[in-house]
Amino acid sequence: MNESSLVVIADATKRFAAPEGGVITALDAISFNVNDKEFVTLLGPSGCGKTTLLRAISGFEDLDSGTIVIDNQLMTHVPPHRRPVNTVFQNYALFPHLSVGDNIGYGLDVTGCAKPERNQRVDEVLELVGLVGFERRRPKQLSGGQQQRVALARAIINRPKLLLLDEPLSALDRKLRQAMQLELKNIQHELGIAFVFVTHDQEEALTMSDRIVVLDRGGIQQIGTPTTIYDSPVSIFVAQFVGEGNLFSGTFTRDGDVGTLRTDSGINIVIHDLLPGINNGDKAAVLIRPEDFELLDSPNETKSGAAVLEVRIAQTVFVGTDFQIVGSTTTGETLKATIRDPSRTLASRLGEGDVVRFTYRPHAPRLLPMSENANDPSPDDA
Amino acid sequence: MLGWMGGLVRGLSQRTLLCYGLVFFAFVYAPMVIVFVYSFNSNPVNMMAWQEFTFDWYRSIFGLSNKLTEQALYVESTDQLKAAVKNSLIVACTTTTISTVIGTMTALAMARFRFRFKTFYRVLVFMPMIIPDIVLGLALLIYFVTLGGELGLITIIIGHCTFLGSYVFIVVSARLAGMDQTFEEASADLGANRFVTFRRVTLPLITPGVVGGALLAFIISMDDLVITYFIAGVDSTTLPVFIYGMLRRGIKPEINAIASLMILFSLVVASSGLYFRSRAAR
Repeated sequence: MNESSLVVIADATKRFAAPEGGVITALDAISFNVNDKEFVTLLGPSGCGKTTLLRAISGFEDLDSGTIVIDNQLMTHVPPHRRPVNTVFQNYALFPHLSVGDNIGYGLDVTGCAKPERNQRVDEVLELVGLVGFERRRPKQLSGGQQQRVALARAIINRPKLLLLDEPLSALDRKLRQAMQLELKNIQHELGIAFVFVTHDQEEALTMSDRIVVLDRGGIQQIGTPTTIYDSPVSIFVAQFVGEGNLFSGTFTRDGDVGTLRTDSGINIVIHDLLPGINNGDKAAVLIRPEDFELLDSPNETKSGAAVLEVRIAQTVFVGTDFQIVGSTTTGETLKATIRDPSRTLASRLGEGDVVRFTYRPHAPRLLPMSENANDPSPDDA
Repeated sequence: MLGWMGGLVRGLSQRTLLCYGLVFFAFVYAPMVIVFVYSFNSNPVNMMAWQEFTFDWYRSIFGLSNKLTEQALYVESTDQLKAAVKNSLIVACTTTTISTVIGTMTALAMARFRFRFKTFYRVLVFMPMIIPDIVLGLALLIYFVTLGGELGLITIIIGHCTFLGSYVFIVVSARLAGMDQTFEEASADLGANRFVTFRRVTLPLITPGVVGGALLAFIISMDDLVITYFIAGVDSTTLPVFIYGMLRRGIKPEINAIASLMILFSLVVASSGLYFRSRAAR
């Protein structure tokens, strides 16, 4: 066991009986650690097991096998109310019959904290979440963002070593959500406690996390920092789920230190970062992020080490400094590219139906193994 | 022209609706109004023929009548009536307390725990409400006699509890079904054990349901005749059984006075229940 790890999850497995018969594996031998003061995000689509995992940590779900250790204590038979963790629930679960102050003080009231200390600590967290003056209101009389803050304040008043957050921002509108992302990060820093944050929003995960655990169908797909996950996804699933991307499938050939993927449509893409498991003649996929594309100016220009793709433009969207371009290659693949346009000269050149020539940074293509369940590596859904 | 026609049709349909509403409420409440009005009618022979206004029947049932007529003797003894009311109140208060606790606990268990044969148990809880009163009364009588128990207040209380728990169960279950279970999880998450969670979160949130169930149980216990009739002992007559006994010897004006007082009492209980619920909803 890693001494510095606050949470150690080993081989956590949980199965449910499906209503239509059969068994759903919600957690399939999940193992990972959470370090002190770390912000870890569990990221995955709905039904990937992230909420089940969170509930196993907080004690509301028992594991079929495997262990969870928090702060060097085995949690297997410890009921929720004895665990050193607190949760911010998805729908906040604020007690409707109690005032904001009593909601926040609840954790202290049930553990028999002395009144003066209790009131002082309530005032402290009210200040921390910026709700001073609201303590006499009922939760119903608050806006969604304010309720969110009360839920956060209530969960941190017991000073847990670990705070669990179950999609806490999903009910807020976009602007408020982005503000709360930064604020959560600040509060985490200020408190110096570890956060385990559940979300299905990859943007949120990339913005806030120290590390991301990407989950799919009850299993861990990849664990890593946001940059690792984004730049070096290990599977087609991760590549598609985190960020936008263009995926090409084809046949791999190796030539010394470099390899080449010949796509099914006949484009040769040179690969500089090889994967040990992929050998000559294997089927594989390659990922190129939209921002790795470059627009070639003249019809004859090429770039060494990178293929040229001729693309018929279907749609262009101007977003601030970038142009997002959707088009299709002459060989039939859909392609998304993001081109920086500081000089504002592109608009005149990119009409719908125009054919332009794209290339990419030579080191951008990322080789990915074909997974057994990814028979359709279309780049459509990110 | 069309607008005018439309207005006419709308006015007509509104008036029809109003009429229907009035007829409906008249149908429901007219008998009670008549009972109330004739409880002040001094005609001792024909209740339906208005003679003059009097408080005599009220005086009579409270034993305050100064002119001891033959009719006033009809309530043989005011003490008997008082005893019946007292019995009814004892039974209703006791059964309400017991069945509210049992019904609430059952509803909580059904809503919060997973166990085998749950549907079967649910049906078992519902059954006493579905079984005809006369069957339940007879069954209870045979049961008590077989056990050799003496019929009295205790048997009435036990008998009422067998089916009043079901009513409380239904009302509390409805409230629990509308309650988000994550409140209890949030409480546990914040360090409260099951009992503290029940006292500080679950109970306050289901209180309107518990109070509603208790009031329902109280009212049903107060006016149950059929089952009580079977299992009441000689000196444990409740108010409905007593009234029924009076009726068997002919309808007399005192009945109207007693009925009016019962209506008034029910009104007070029901409106206090509504008042409590509206406060809880706030």
